[in-house]
Amino acid sequence: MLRGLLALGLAWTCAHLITVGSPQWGPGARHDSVVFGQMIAIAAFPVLLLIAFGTQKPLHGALIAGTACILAALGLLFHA
Amino acid sequence: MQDNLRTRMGWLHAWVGFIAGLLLFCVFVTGSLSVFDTELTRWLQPEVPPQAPAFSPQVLDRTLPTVRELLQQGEKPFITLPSSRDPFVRVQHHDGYEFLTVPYNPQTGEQLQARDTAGGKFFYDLHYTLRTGLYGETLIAAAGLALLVTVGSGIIIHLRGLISDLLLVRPFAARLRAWLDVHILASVPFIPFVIMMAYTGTFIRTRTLFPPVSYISSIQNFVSPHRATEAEPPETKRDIPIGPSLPPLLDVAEKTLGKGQTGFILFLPNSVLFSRTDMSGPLLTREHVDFSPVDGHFLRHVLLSTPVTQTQQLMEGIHYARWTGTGLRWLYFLSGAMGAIMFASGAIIFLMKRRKVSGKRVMFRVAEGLTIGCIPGFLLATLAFFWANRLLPTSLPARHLAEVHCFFAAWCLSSTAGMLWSLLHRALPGWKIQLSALAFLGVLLTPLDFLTRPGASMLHAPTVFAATDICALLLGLASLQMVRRLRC
Repeated sequence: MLRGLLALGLAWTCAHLITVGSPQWGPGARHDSVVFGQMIAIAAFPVLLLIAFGTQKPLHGALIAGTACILAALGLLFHA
Repeated sequence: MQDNLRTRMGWLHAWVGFIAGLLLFCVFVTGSLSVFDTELTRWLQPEVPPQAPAFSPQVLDRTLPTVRELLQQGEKPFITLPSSRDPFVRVQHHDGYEFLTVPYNPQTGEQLQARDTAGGKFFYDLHYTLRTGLYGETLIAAAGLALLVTVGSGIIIHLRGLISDLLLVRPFAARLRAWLDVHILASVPFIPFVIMMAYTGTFIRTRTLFPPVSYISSIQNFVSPHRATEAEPPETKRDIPIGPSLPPLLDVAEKTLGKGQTGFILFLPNSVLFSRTDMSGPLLTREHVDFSPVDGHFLRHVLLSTPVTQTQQLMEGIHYARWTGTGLRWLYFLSGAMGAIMFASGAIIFLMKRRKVSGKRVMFRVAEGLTIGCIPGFLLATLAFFWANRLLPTSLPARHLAEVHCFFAAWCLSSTAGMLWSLLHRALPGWKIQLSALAFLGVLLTPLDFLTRPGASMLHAPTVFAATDICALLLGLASLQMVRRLRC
């Protein structure tokens, strides 16, 4: 149960960071970049949740999903 | 229990699937019905004749008094032009829940006297908002994400035996095994459809879950417009200009959109939009040509055509399925119905597996009560809506709301009854009563249709009426069979 909640939290955070960062991917085409970010976020959410929940060791799953969150957050910082 | 990938995915599949599945059952049922929303509106307005004469653009001007009246009320009315699905001109507006329509003869422009009904669009609204606006949209989008997780975990569980499981259907095997076979048979062949609908459906409403701004700003944006409206003075009756004649504007618009490619004319305070029909292709472009509402001069032509926007339009197009022909529409309906069977059988398997160990627990009783309310209860309410449409007096004021109230009253009643039976440890009679009522309403919908439809004839049954009646009959017979096989 706890592992499920952790996986949900990490997957949700990553998807949220992707959409929050997306407007800055294409300064001249904000609408397009937001739409593209949302497409990625919706696809990334279930994949990350399944990875975070499915690995043999809980730490491995959390690390993978956490890395994805950091990458999404870095994308946000680099373009800001 | 051994801890491996399959058991972990099994846990996730069962719990996420059950919790989201009850809601998704309702979403898939209403989605399947929404594929035929236009046709259902024709069933729900039996006074409108099944055939109509050819469309004459001159009739558009005859609808303008109704349009002006709606504009004065602050609505955003639009005129839908005749199509292969609906041969009538209709003036429509959204009342905050569903699109209310007034049909017109497409050749003479005479308004047809048809009953006030919530129509097939009622199911469309229920499909994506549950009639609760933004809250419902958010909940359903979250359920869409849960569906993607459930499908993913389900694929991992069944990956090894996907083909062999598909070939095994044992309706007379042990009860749990038989339900598992039904679950697999209803899921595996339709997995591409379910994934496609879950992904595109969630994407269409992504903004509710993953806005492109932080959640704090998002909540502030949501709250601040309400503050603004509180300060606004009460709205006075607007002055609406007489407006230009529509047939010449239709000619100009069709030079850009193509002959017969105009789907609807939307009236806004500052412009009149001639929009491309959703039936023109898989891309839901909503390309439109705008004119001034005062003198009809050309304002602009709007078409978004970047690769990302076109992908978005394609995703919307394949989700809404408005461009499809009748055959593909039926395939959507069948796939949606199979999706609903997948959720129903999944919920039943979830309860069966836990009945021995947890059957006496209150939480189990609540779960079973909810299942009774959401599966047979929801179908019962759907049929009650059709019955109410034919039995309520046609002169009833706000009749469309009365139909909706009948739907929710039936759903509330059946859910309460189901919950009570379950809490009293009498779940089986609860299932039996609900299924029997469902069988009664389903089987007798055909006689009701024949008795209450003007000009009904056995030898000349128009397609929309026959198809609706046959589907209800099949649902009734399936319920009857389930009642027969339920052991006390």
